[in-house]
Amino acid sequence: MEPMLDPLSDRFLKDLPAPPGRPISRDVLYPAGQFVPNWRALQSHLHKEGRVSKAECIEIIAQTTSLLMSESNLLELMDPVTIVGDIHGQFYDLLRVFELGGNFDSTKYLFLGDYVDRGSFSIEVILLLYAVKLNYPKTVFLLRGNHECRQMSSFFNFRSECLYKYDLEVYDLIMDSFDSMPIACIVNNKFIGVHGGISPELTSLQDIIDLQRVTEPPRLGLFCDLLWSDPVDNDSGQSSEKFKSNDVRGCSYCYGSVAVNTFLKKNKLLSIIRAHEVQIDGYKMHKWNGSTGFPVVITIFSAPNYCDVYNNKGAVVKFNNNVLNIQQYNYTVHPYILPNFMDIFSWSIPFVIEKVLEMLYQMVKTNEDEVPVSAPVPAQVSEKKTPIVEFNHPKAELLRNKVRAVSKMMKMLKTLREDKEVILQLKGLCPDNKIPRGLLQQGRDAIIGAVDSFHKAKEWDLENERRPK
Amino acid sequence: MGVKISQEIPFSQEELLMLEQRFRRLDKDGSGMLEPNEFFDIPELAQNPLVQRVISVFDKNKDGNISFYEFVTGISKLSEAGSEEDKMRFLFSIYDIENDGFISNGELFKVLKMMVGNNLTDVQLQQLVDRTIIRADEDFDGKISYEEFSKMIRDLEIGEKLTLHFK
Repeated sequence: MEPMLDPLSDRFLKDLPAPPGRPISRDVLYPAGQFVPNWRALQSHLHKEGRVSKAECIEIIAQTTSLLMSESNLLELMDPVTIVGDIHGQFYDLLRVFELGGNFDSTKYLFLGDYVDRGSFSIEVILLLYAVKLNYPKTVFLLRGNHECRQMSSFFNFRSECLYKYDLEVYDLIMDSFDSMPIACIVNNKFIGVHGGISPELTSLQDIIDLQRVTEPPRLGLFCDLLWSDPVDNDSGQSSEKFKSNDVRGCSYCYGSVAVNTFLKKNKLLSIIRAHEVQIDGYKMHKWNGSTGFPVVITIFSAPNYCDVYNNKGAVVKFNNNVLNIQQYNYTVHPYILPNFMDIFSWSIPFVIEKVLEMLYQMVKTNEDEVPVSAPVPAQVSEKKTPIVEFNHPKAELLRNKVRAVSKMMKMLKTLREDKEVILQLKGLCPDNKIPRGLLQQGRDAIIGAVDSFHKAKEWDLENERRPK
Repeated sequence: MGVKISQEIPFSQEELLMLEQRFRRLDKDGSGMLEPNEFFDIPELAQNPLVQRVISVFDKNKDGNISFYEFVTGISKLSEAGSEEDKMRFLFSIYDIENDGFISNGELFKVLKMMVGNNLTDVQLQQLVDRTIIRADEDFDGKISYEEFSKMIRDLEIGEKLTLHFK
């Protein structure tokens, strides 16, 4: 697709490729005779920030929903497979995952969910993943994460991204496609892949198969736990109860080593491969059976520099010939976006107005002690020569007051703008506008300057890991 | 100097006199015209990046200076007497450097650069400019007409906000 037109040839950064001027055409996306979308053309188009028209978007979503509906709650896969954790709208990092994970003709892929929210390119992630899925229905698999639902995506920024780029109809169709996603996958008969983890209501794998999955995930129960639970946060998996209530999430449980070992033994599995929690190295091996034992839980997280502030690496699991490898990577720079996808006019006009008013004020203001008097040389203010009216004091005072009011308003604008800039910088730190309350309470000076510490970011972002009420 | 009052100028005699007085004080060299440096010399405007743009928009005959007539006409459009369209067109003109009725990619970049300075890199700014034009550009001609502009900003209440309460 052609880059946008530059009719006056005055585009400043000529070396920076311009985005495609038009949405991807139907002929390019579905070349003659093809039933599935041309995913390579779509990837290239989206990479350049090209758009997809609503009709084509709906077609991709609808085709994928049908396909997902035909799959079982519990999938089965043999290696070679690349297992991918949270992506969270980081489209440019997803492209890195494709590069590192292997090409689709020779490698299978298992995605563990959380495709949307927090990042600004969730639509692009969904469209490309669905297009790939349609091309590789038997070797690329998409599991459901806790963000693939109406509650989370409307609390966070995916719904607003949908409304900005499309409309409610598209959002609802994507929500339906999420409902149709399978929940878990057995890999090599030894590993279970799932977004969150296990559940007190999970005894055997049949429990997963028996679930009614085509629904918004409930607030509690097995389905909820599979998407929401976490391993306990210590090196040995020690826990006073098999399943502790999960206070970080405000729902579901934390599972300890007893719960995990019981489950793994009963179902003849070696380990749980899951995602759901950001990791500074992009992965974590929960070696609860001693340091020489195989980790009973592996957390994988594939969104590097999460939310543009965490400074973490991303990682994927590459499973080949029964050997498990971790591939790490750093984040890829993405196009710059203003909060809420604000356009440059809406962004700059308040400032323009302020500066124009400031100049106008200088043009019309009078000095405090100056009383406007009648001009010594009469201005011809009308066709008929009427005597010039002398200013009387009350009128002059009125004018002075009006001008003073203008200057007060401008001072207020100046302060508002300063605050707005700080807020804007904050929001720039968190592309989904969920500014951690801790950051806000730090005060202006503490906020100026980038967040460079992973742990600080995690601490301040903690409340965004909770399930909304 | 004299000015012929016409229908369009909504000022009373007293207000015109006051404006004329102000104009004379700004006109330091007494040339009868306001030259750009007579604005640049005002200390309060030293940090204002849009002084030249405002001058250019006021300067209807494009002779580089502001006559008293241009002064009064410009102010009247931005006063309470000016319509919402007057103000939107004024804003449009701030961005339309070449005054050809379209905001081009390069013009939008330049004006934003004046305001943003080094707070964004050129790459970031170019990305914002490109994306805004694609979003606003309904006829795919790669530039923004007044109609496309006004559609994009119609929710911003320009009429209320860009008003010099002078009367």
